[in-house]
Amino acid sequence: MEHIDNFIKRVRSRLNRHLGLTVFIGSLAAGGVFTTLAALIYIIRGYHVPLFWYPVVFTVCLFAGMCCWYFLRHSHYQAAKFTDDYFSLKDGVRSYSGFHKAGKSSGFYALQAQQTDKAISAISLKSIRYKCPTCLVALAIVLILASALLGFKDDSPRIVQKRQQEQFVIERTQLINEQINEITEQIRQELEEKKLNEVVDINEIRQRVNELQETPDIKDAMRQYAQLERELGEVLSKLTQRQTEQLLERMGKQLQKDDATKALGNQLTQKEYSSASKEMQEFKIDPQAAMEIQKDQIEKLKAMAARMSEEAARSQTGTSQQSSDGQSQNNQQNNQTQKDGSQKNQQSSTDRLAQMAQQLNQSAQQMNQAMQEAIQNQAQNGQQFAGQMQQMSQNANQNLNNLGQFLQQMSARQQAQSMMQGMLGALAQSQQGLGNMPCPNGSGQTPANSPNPGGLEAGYGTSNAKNTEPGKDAPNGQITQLQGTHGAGPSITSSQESASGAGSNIGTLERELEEYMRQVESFVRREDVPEAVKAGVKAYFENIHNIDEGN
Amino acid sequence: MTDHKQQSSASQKDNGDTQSSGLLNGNGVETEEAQQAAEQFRSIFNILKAEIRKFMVGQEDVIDNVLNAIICGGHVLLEGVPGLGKTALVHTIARALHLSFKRIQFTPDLLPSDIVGSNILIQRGGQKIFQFEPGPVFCNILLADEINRATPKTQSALLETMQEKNVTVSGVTHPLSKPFFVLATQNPIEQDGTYPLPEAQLDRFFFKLHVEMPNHSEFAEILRRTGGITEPEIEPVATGDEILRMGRTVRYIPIEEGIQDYLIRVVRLTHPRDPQSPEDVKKYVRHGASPRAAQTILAAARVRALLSGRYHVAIEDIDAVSVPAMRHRLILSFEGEAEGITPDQIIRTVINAAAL
Repeated sequence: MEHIDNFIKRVRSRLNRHLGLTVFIGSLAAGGVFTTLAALIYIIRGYHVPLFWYPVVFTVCLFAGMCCWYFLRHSHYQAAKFTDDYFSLKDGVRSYSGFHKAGKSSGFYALQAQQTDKAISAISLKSIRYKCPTCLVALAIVLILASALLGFKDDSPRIVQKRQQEQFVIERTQLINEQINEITEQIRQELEEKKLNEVVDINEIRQRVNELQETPDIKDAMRQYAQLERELGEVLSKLTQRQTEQLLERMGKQLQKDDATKALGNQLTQKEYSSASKEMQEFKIDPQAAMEIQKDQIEKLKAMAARMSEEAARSQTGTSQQSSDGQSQNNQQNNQTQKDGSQKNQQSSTDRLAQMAQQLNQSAQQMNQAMQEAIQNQAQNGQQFAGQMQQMSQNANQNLNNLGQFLQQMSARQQAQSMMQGMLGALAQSQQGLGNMPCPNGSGQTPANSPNPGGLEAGYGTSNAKNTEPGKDAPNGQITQLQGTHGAGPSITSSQESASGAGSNIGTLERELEEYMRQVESFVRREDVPEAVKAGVKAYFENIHNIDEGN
Repeated sequence: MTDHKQQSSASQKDNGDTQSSGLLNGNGVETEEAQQAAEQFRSIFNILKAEIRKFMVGQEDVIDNVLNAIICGGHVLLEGVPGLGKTALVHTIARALHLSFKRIQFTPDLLPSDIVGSNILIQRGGQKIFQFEPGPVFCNILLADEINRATPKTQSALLETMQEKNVTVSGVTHPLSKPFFVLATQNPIEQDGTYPLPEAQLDRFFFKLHVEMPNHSEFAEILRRTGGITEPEIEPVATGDEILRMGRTVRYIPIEEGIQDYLIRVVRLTHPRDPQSPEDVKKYVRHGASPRAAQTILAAARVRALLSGRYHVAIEDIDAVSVPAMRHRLILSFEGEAEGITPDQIIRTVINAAAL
């Protein structure tokens, strides 16, 4: 009875085609639902609907539909049952299918098969028509059209601006990173040329600079620059030798009072330590010179050493008083109890300078005394005098050498400090660009009369100007930065104000606020700032913020 | 006694004759043989029905179902108000079948020995001996008229005869002649002085049929046929052998596995404890149909399929015979009885649930 089997197969095939068509329409409707929902979510958030959603969603839905069709498709038995129900064959085809499957074909089974065969010969397969799910079709069409129309909607102005800002931040961070890299490389070369590698570990700084990333998020960008700034500040604070410089300056002023040491005094006052080191060599005692010459050299050395020693002693007295005052103050204020490492370094450096000055002074006095004695006993102990003076002059010269080397070190640290300050300034200057966010519709933040006019295009108040001179603040208005420990004072933090220029404050209130936030963030992250000071700064800016919100 | 022995021997002879044919040897049948048996089945049934309809007017379903039960070897409980022709139907069938017919009018004072027979003391050759005197059950068709009027003790005397088709008296078993059918009647209205049949005995009835009031035209035809001087003459058109052969023939009608599952599902859903049974069943039914009900439905559905010209059992056959086969096997709960729920309603609910 192949006729019956073929008939059932054709019914099955027809039913599965119908099912496939229905599932296809259902898949399209489902795809329409999902794409419409996705489009609505994007549009509510202000975004343009990414077009990749459409093929992806419909492909997934069609694939899911195929899977559904595969699991829902009619079996041979189901097709037989459908045939019975559809053509009112009273379970004839179904029974035949079951009997045939069980291998029963004789007797009444054969009669049943003949009867079924006769029954299906009278019916036409074409009468099984596809029932189109009109509601589902209508739903699919409506949803697909709706999702397609939603796909044409562009980004909202807010999102456009946001994207521009992100692009701007990426470009700006890329530029800043390149600039910082270049500056770091320059500093490294300078340090190598000046053989100052031991003073600053530039490789560590380079590693940190290389870790800087390009990011669309301005907060992330500012955070990483603030972190770098803080680390550079720490390096800078280690290089700080302000107390020693002040002592040397005071010594220089004392030396300026005497004509013989005026040149050295000028150099010390002007912080030209390298020149001062060389100038100090002029005060060396020549043990081979004549007694008169040696006498003059000793007088000159004595004058210099006495003034330096005197100033050193005065400084040490003042320091000890200041220390005791600071100690009592520290007891009153808990936050002052944390001593900075750089202060200790400075103190030890100052002590060392004072000690060297005193040693030099002692050597000079001893030589002077020996010279006086030598003059009185010149005739009797000439040979003995020469040996004693030679040894003393070697000690004095040695002390002078030590002092010279100290000044050379000071000079090196001064140069390294200058480089680090330059790098910090360049970093701060680079970050200024992050504050110049693009504004919509030509309301640029950089006015034409600003020191850095122009921009990428209308509405983009940006400046691509590259700071080629690290260490020099660009005259860009009142750029107030919290730079950390730059000098001595009651507080370890000083507010350094850049040089005032001809420019006006170009930032809008929002930009200024962001800038202040960045600075505050940088400041409060510093470990060397006492908590009380941090809390005060925080409170100050919170108050400002509250006032702004209230207005 | 002599008649009884003759009937038994004739019946056994018939059995031997039929067993020699290929149709009944259990090894399957050839197609032509099956075709011939099916045609013979339909032919005898139609002749028998036509003969019965000479006297009986209307009651198509009742006649079909009674003949269906007889072919399957089952007993029928006819329920209806007096005067609807229950007894006349049984009389007519008995006459048309050319089988021995006995009638017992059940009354409260009827004793079991009045039905099955008893040993009586007789004198033979100068000696007094006990001899078994068969009761009215020793026949082919037994009409148990108003069966619910007898006491439960007497009713239960029919249990063995209906199921085992034997009678045991004083330790001696006496087989009944084949075929043996009990056609019982009961009046559903008159409940005074009646004893409802126990569930065990109800379960032994193949069908319980409701005999309905004839319509106007049937009334007129009844009056025409029975109001004259002569009544229609019923001739015997089928023998007991032919009935037995028809019963064996239907057993070859195949049923597809899925349809058999449907049958089982229908029966199982009548049980309130079945997790898939409808709420009405859970609420109104105390006990569902037994596996014997499933056997009954299958056998009756086969007969119906063959009479419908089909060689397979269809779901509609099962649906059609489920009501008469299960209505007396469902025991309603108190709630069901109180709300006037009928077993027929429950069975239709079950059929609808099984079709889903």
